[in-house]
Amino acid sequence: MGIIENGTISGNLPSKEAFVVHYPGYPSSISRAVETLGGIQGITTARESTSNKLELHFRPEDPSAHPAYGERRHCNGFLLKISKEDVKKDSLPESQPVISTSDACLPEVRPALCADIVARVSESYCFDGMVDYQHVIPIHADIAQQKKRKWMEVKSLAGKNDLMDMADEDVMMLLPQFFSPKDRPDNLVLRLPVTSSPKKKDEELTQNLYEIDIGPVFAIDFSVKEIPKILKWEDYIVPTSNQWKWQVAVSALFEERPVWTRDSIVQRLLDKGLTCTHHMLNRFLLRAAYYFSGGPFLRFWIKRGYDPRKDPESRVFQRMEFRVPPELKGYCDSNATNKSKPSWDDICAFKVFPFKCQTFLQLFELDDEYIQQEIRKPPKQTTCNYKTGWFSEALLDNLRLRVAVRFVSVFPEPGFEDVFKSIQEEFERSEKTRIQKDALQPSQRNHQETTKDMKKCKNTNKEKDDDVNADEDSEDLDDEYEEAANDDDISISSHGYGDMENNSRTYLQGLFNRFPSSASALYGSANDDNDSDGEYPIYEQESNALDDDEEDDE
Amino acid sequence: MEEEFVMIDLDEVSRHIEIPSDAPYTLSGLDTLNPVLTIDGKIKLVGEYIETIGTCLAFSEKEEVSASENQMPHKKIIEPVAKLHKILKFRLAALDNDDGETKTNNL
Repeated sequence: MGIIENGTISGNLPSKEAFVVHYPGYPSSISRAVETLGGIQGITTARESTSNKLELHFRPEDPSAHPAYGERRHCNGFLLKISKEDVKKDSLPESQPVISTSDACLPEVRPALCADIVARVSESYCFDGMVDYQHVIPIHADIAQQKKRKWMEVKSLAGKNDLMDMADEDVMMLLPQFFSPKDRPDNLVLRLPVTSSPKKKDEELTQNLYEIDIGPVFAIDFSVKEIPKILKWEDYIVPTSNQWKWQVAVSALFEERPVWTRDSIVQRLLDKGLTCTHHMLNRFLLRAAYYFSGGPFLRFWIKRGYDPRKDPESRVFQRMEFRVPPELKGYCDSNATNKSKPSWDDICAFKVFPFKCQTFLQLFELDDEYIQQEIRKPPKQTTCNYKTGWFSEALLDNLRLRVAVRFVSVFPEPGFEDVFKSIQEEFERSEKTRIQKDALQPSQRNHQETTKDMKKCKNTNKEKDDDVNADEDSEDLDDEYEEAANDDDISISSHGYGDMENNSRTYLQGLFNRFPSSASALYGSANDDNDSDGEYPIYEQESNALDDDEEDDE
Repeated sequence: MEEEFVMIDLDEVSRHIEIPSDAPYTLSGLDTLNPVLTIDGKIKLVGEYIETIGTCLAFSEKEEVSASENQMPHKKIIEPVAKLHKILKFRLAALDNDDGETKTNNL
């Protein structure tokens, strides 16, 4: 050790090696600091390790303490050691150089300061990462600060005892809190959300397919030129999925016959043990079929690629409706809330009286020998009419009355034989009328139909109908009331469509005659030359169109 | 014997010069706030005191050599040397300062 003379020392740079740890704290002692660094063994292991990491546990007693990592770095430094030898009491202050100089002749009596560079420091460990929350009592922090400040003065070298006392008081208190699982600051780059779920991808694909490939299938206008084409639904339904089984069953029905009522489809699927929601059935149907918003196949599901307007054989699939006579509507009202509805098959077989005031049927499904014979006779028309399809108006009226006779005959309540007889007589009269009209010369009938077509052109309202699958019975009641109101409106506006005064007067007279609740006036009296029969279905259909518009708005 | 340690930081200087090993040095001005370090009679450095962030722990590393067990692999023994809070950071001395200080010392 060289003695400091005039603040100067000399020597040779040492070859002895040392390393330093920039400890992020103020340990109470070196031994405590070594303990938090894993002890001598831990430091030795870190020195030999290739990870260049030194672990620091602020709370070595806590097994769950999160370590801070010190990174090894290269540095250029030396360790300067300053010591004091031969401590003796001296009244003179050491900092006064003049006095020191004058006493140079007595060196063995006075204390001497020695300094020497004792080691070369080539490596250091720095802690740059984040650490657990550290709570230091302010008074201890202040003591540490004071201790540091004294280093700025030479007098601090003489205060060794005080420093040791302060060191003992410098106790660090740590709270056992976990600040962050991350050790070092990290830059994060936000990326676009990636859909990793294959299910979502399938749904998106399905939606796109719907939008692109399916095209319009709901309520297509009857006069449209092109109908929806066949859809290759096998491309986007997994064969092992439940949807596949459903779709196969629905598509098979349209191979059996090209036109179906929704009620009949539901019945057939139930017979096969298949049940699904209303929404799912719509999805399966639109992949295989479409429907018109008006015409003789109103809201019937029609196979994709098949155009009933061009195939005379489609006449057997046309629509037929049954309206409950006014005298019998009480039965429907009383059964409006009846949950046990008759099955569709029983209705088509005329085994039960329907609960609804209005029922739409398909001619093909009606279990009646008379009807089936009539609809299978060779077609007499060469085009499909919006109003009557492939049949003549007289024939449709005849068939409608036949349906009414069959249903009224199974009416469960007694006391309505008069109603039955009245409808029966009307049916027989309509049969005679139809036969007579069929005997007319073809040219005359064409002329009559031309007149009817002109009337149709004046009708700006499109023919629409109620949704066959109304979910709630209360809505049916509302529809009935609305229909009544619409009938009144139509009767007033019918003046605008009257081309022939005789027909208008005769119709109005017939309407007035029906106001009294007389059974004989149920369906109006039909004469051989009377055209009022032709007017009746037009206005009924118009009222349906208005109801349907309101439903569409909802 | 009372001891205190100070860390001499030459990182700032090592980028410009190479510090040889076992070279003679002279450290003067220890009684001032800016000591001067002269290495090998050529390199003059001026230092200033800096406080450490936290605590600086110094460890010595010695190679254990056991004559009786030559076959054993050599292991280093680590011993804590000091706990210090003072760093003496050196930088290259400017010519003017050097001359100024020399004159002052002469006076």
